[in-house]
Amino acid sequence: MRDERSLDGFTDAGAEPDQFIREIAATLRAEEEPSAGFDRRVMAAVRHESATRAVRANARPWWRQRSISLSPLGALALAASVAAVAYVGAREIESPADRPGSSTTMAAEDGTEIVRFVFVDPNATQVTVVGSFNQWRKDATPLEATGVPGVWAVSVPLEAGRHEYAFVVDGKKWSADPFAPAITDEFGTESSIVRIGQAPTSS
Amino acid sequence: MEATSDGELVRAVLGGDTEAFAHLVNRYRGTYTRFAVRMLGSRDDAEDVLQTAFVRAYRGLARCEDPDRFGGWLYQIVINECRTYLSRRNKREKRFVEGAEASMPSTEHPSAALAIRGEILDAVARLSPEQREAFLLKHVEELSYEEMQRITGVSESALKMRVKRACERLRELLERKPE
Repeated sequence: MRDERSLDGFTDAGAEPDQFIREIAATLRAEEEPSAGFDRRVMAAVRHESATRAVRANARPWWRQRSISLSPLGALALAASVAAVAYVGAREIESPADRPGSSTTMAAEDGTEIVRFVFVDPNATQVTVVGSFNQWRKDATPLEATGVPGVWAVSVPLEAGRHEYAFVVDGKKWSADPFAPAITDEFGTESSIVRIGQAPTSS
Repeated sequence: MEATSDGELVRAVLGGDTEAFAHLVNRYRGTYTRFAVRMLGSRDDAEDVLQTAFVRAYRGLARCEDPDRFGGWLYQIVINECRTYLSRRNKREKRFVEGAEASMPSTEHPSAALAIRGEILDAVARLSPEQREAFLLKHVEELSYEEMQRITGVSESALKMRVKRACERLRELLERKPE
């Protein structure tokens, strides 16, 4: 496989690599493209980072206030005034025909369900839910005032599988759902998890 | 947007246009996927590492001193992530051979060329991480020793020694006669 020996693969300083190394390098130089959806996953993670960073940058007073108000009475008051619940609304399963804008990749048996996100905060003027299902876009999924003071809600069709999410209040307060399983990303930001049906198995 | 320079894209991202980062991802994913797959011997591991590297790059973009050389700066992050990943993984298991085989394209008709490719991937997987990294950067990615030194932080003489030993080891592995 080789026709001459050299120290670091070159016939002499600055020259072309010898034949043996050229053959190995040519094999290793074959292109490797990431799998489909790689860019989308990276950008979802980037948007997540962007959203959490923006929230942190805009909410320093809130973070400071939060860190010093966790006395037992304060915690009770917080629990009474601010609560967030995400639940699968009556496990209501949409028919595909009722799903305008659904991806064509969603099959009829994909197990999509309507998830109703509810957030309670009497002082909020705007609440959105950000998550892996909307690419962590802060303005993509606003909650609507329900008519009950301080209660915000939105229904979102989610595909079967595991989804991460969090609430953003007034564009600056990041809040994981205290009643859902939590996950902390590598940068220390806590989000919540909701699982819908059976996660699709890879073929 | 394809003709837009790295520097312009970096400045756009820093100016608040997060979506401009997608062009940088698209621009560098191919080269760095190849490097990471060869380093880690597994496409899945490589994609995990690359995703982390891209997010870290986004997070630390303001620290990219020369936006027009974003690619080289990102290379440093990718290499560091590969090192970290290998260090963690090697503590858990030794599965380079399995990973190298898994990265091969599947075929119903294995050919002699594919068999040789498998031998080469196996041999590269058996190099130490330091030797493999230096060999890939020198002979596959075709960087100069000066560029390698800047990206890896390893001295030129040490890099040359690693490449030399990598070549010797590859010859030893690939020229060994079957028993």
